[in-house]
Amino acid sequence: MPTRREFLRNSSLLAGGLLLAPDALFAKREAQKLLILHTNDFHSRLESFPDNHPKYPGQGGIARLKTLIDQQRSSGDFSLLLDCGDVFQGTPYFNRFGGVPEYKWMNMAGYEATTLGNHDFDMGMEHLADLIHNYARFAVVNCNYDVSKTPLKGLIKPFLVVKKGKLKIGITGVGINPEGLIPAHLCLNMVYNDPVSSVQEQVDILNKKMHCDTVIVLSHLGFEYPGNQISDKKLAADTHGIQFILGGHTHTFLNDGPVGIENKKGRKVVVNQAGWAGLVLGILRLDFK
Amino acid sequence: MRVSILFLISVLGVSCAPYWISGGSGVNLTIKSSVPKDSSMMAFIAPYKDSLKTFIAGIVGKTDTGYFPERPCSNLSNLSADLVFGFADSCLKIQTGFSLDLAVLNMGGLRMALPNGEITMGNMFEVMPFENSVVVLKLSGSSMDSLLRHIIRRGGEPVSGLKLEVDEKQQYSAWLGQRRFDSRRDYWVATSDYLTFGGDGFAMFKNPIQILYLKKTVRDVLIRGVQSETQQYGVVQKRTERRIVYANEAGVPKK
Repeated sequence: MPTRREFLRNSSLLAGGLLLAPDALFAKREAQKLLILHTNDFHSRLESFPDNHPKYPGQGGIARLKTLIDQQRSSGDFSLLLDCGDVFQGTPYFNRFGGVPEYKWMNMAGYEATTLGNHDFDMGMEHLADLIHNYARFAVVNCNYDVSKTPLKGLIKPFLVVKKGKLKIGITGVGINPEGLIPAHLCLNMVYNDPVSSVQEQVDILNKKMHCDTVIVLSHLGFEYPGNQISDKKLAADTHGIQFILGGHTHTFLNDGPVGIENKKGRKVVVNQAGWAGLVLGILRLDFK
Repeated sequence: MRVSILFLISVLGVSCAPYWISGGSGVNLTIKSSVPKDSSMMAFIAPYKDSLKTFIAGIVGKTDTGYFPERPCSNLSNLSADLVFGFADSCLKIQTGFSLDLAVLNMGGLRMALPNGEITMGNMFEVMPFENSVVVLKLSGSSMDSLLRHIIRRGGEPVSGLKLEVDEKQQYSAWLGQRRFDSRRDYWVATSDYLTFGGDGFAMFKNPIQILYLKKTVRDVLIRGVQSETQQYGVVQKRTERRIVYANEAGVPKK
């Protein structure tokens, strides 16, 4: 039995090209491919772990990470490189150079966006604002930290729309409750808003107003927790209109790959996290039609 | 493991956007030591690495003995707590006019021993790799009592300004400065913000009467302290006195 699309195409052919409208409307679209690469909790791991490291000997580091990124990109598909926060803190590189080489690395690797992790505040908001303003050639997206009364005003985007080929991709970001994680003086006057409603608001804009083909949330909430604390899995379940939640904070290694979580409307959302310290590259290869 | 996106996602779109996901796969790839290093990235890090090498090799000060982090108290724990005490006390005096009563850190936060001889910046980072900063809390007498009991339960933590004697029944006698501990008064306590967030079970730090953030990392305070003592005396001053004494040392928790 012919599908509706074939049926219409056939009928336009039968009409001898007179009926142009249905053909234009249902013209066979070019299938689109998209490669999403993502990292989280980089923690200033510019160099690989030392060869005598008990847990990760010789692993990670930007020199190896770049090789893998390039290998993945060599497929030639349109690609997106994303990060989920906590770029900073963890090696003396950060103490010594204040985050500059980390942001330069992200520029060179071609990151499109990151979100705000709790450790990104470690040198204060003035410092972070200077870094973003002077160095970041990528977007910093977050929708639940109100920074309008802080030095970060105007530097954090609630959402981002990226065109890749014929695809329109919507990206938003969400951060963890700073209480007990970020010393109060390092996030002075920043207001933390509810992740679920903040994200839903941006996702609705991305779907309904911006007509995005797919919506990605960059999260620094953490993969999952016992109890009621908001996490990536819970965010996936409590919202709708999101296809991908890429996360961080809990340094979760998902060796079996991403997981699928049913959302509020019974549709599934891909949730993933890529360990930490540049030890893992999350890779999603997607076909669109 | 590579998983099919079709198992994870609902494919048919409901949005009014023209494209929807029809397939794909997801995998998390480990960056193993067998992955070759990208030469342009190596070249990019090289100057930072060299500069860091110089920075890490920089001499901060000198010791004439090794300093070790050991429970219930040790020369390194005494030194660290004393340097934090000195810094926090001067800040507190300037900001409020009050004097500090006590400094408490966590033994678990002192990650390495300080060698005997020249002390490098790298040594200081190894001892204190974390970016925890110094805070001053005003605690009620009853919170102080909980704090002292917590220190005893943990087998001792780095302290300055305190002498703590624990009898066989785990009952304590405490002196702050020259005065006996008085649970009816408030005390000014310096510590690291990590512990005030509930780190290492210091729950009594969570609701202080007052809190002052001193915007300086514990490591910076230690570095400055080692520098200035070396300048002043030629070496870091020894602090071997036993500030926390258990009547029954055998029963002291070590971890």
